[in-house]
Amino acid sequence: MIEIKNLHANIEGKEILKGLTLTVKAGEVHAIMGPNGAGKSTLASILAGREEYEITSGEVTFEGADLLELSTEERAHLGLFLAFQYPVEIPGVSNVNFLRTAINEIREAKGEDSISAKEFMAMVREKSKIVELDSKLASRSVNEGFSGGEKKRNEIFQMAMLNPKLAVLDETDSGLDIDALRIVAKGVNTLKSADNASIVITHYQRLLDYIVPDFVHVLHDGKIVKTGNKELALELEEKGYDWIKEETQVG
Amino acid sequence: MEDLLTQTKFDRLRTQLNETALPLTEVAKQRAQSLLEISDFPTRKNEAWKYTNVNGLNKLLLNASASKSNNKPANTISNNGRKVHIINGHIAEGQTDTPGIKTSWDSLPERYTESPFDALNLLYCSCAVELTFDDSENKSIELVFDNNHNTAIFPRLFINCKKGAKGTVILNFQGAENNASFINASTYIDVGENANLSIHKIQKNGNDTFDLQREYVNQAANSSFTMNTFPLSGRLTRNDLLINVNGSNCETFMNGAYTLKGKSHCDNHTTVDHKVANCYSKELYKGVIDERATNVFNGKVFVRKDAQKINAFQSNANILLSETGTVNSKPELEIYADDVKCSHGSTTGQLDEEAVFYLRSRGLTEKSAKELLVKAFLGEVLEEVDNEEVSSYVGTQIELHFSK
Repeated sequence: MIEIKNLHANIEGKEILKGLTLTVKAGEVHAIMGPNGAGKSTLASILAGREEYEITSGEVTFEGADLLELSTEERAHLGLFLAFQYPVEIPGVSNVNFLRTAINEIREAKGEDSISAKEFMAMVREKSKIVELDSKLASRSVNEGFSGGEKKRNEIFQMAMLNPKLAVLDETDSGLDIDALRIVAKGVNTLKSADNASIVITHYQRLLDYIVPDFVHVLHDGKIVKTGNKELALELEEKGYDWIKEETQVG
Repeated sequence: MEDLLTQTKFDRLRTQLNETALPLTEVAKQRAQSLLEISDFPTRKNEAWKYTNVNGLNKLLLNASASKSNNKPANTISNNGRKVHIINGHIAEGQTDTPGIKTSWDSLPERYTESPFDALNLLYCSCAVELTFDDSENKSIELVFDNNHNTAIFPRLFINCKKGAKGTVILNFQGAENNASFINASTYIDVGENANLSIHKIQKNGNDTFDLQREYVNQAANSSFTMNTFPLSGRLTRNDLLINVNGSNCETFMNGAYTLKGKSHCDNHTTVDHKVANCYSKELYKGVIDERATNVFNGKVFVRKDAQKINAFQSNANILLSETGTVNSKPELEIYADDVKCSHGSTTGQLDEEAVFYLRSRGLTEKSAKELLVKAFLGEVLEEVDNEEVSSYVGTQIELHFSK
């Protein structure tokens, strides 16, 4: 699905990623954990194609394509989806209208016909149920006046609508109460299949009680320093990140 | 030789113009002529014209003998309601006077002349139309100006919405794409007591057209007046909207949306003069400026000494899509009463890059992401337009503007 090899990246001359390597296969859920400033959100931003980062070396192959050569929208067309840590409010642009445009542009890029109004509305009804998103919210302006939880549910709703191959969830749990967390996790679990994969970026173990990862990676100082199964997340929760930092320094 | 030295820019412009064929009184003619004789084109020193230079008018090659007939059907916006077709500034052949629409004149009304361009309009008037609404049926009349010759188009319009009456007027200026005309319109609007009048003005001019228009509005008590202005294209567009709110309990709405690119220059000057108490006015002008285009906005609100309990709101917002576009926006409030609620605001910025990125991350191309955001931005103005045909027409034009 995606193969990240020895990725180095700077922002404003400061090196954030210092040789990150990660392979994700179809059907897998990978959690990336790590202390603040480790480079977690940088990774998400680079995968989605934010232009303010400078890639100094390394490569990323996604579905056989050189991801770093593609524009943000081309990545989306290939099936990459980023759930934003801070979803943007866009007054005057209705959620469903923009999703319909998005679906049609993705279909067009694949040489498929556009979605019919009927098919689209049926899909809105079906997918909004997954995240218990009020259909009124679905038709309102994108995220405008949404609560923190509603914004995150809307991210998962969009993910459900776009049906990506690889979803990158950037601290989707931040700012969520336990109910919203449960709903978001349920959405992600429902959408999981043998053909898609997700990278769940999180600071806390909490979300991983609900989204059970196949692999847990610890990102520290721009590199993955430890990989394990879900037990590793529990260990981190118990001990904090300091032992990882110490272990890395010793190693 | 001496003549050349003392010749004003108006003198030079006038050598290209044909005097009006409509009947003018000798007095009116004299007055207009003397105003023009002591005037010249406005310059930067004139505060109201600080950012708008009309010298290019004298570079236009105006063809005086433009065709009055047009084989093509009129580019109308409304399906129903009456229409007057004006081709290259002249009333289309076959138009006859009907109740509410007058196009033939024994004597052309002079009305007041504020600007030398009004004097010019009077002396070289190419068509004069009077529209009258006298019942509450909310009839709609559309004036379609089809311009396909490079010529001088000088419409003189009188719109009367009588006591208790309701009316809708669409002023639809349509220029062929490369049309290089000079439009110079003077419009006199009277809104009677308890009357309700809406005017929608579309300026879809040719890329080299100069369009200078002035609207003088008088509102009587308990009336409602709406002026929606859509400068969509043209080389230079200048609109002066002057509204005197003479009676109490009036409502006044001014909305504008503009899409500028190339070397377009658009200037909207509006004035609302609240002379009496208990009135409400609301103004919203929004536009996008691309390439080397320039937008000028000047909105004045006067609240006179005894005009208490006035609620006046004004807002102008601009989005610059290029680094070479220019915006000059100046809201002005002059308040001489003490119990009023007034606000004004002006913003100029770029499209929200974070929103563009968000939409692109969902698969929208950069172009369609920007288009969606611009449509949403201008959509706020279109929501204020209570005429479905007009708002959908302008919406379509905004889309076309981006697809070119």
